[in-house]
Amino acid sequence: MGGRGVDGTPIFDELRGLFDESHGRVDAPSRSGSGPRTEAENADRPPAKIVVTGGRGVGKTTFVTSVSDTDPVTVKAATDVGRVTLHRDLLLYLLGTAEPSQAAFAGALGAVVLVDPRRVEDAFAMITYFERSDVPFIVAVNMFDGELRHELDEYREALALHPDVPLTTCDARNPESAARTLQELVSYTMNIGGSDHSPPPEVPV
Amino acid sequence: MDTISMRSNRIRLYALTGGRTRPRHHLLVETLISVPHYDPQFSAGLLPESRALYELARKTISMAELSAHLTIPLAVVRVLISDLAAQDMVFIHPTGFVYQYDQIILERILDGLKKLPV
Repeated sequence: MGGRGVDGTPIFDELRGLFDESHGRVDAPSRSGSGPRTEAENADRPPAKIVVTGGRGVGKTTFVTSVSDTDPVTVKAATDVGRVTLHRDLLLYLLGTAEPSQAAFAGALGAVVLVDPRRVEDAFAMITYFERSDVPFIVAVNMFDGELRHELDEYREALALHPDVPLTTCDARNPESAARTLQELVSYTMNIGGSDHSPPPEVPV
Repeated sequence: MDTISMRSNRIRLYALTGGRTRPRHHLLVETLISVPHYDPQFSAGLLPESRALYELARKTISMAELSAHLTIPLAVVRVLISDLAAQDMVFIHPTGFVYQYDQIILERILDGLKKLPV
């Protein structure tokens, strides 16, 4: 993928222009002088988004629920959205979905692909999808019964996973474990972002 | 609700958008919406679905939550919010599109995740 548009301007800047147009009003509402702010009003910064995906019944909703501030909302079949307040001015939205779609992954800083240790093949389609996309992803084996049946390397082999893609384990029911998995993803996104200056993925219309 | 009334409800919602299914604005599930200057008269003149969206957005809220709270399909919420934005009655907050490439924000996200009360 080239980093520049037809006239030589970086695509990044073109995208920025596109966003400015699509944001409607550019004058953000002033909140100065208002009283204590509620969580949902901590919206000074654009919220971040992480996609949590995998096959049916792998624990996507459980994962999103365990780490979100409140119960996730279901926007359509098999798509749940949870909110995590990271800082007063920075929200993280978790999108749990089984359906790969451009709209779902647009703007996501990365994705966690959950794997059912009893049905690794359910994750194949999603891994293939991300290998072909620009969205950074890590793979996490969701340990339903608390232990792995095989070595992690064997899962990597079974999933035909590239050596550079992080593979980890998690317990989707455990908020601490889910949070740690998200940390691994963000660290990975930071690492590949530091060495790669390719432009953001194309904006779906 | 039985199947027929669910279906007619859906058809009605799409009729409400004038058959348009593509919004003019960039609206993702996590995109935040707010009402910069609430106008009760404007609200009173809106169709029920748009009025409900306008009222809910008085407190900053995501597209996902608007759709879920009002049980209006996301595609319809996109069109209706887009119309309200075209009239400058709601503010569509920017989305975090470039965070994948912003090390400082990523650091803050990581820091926030480490400090979660989990």
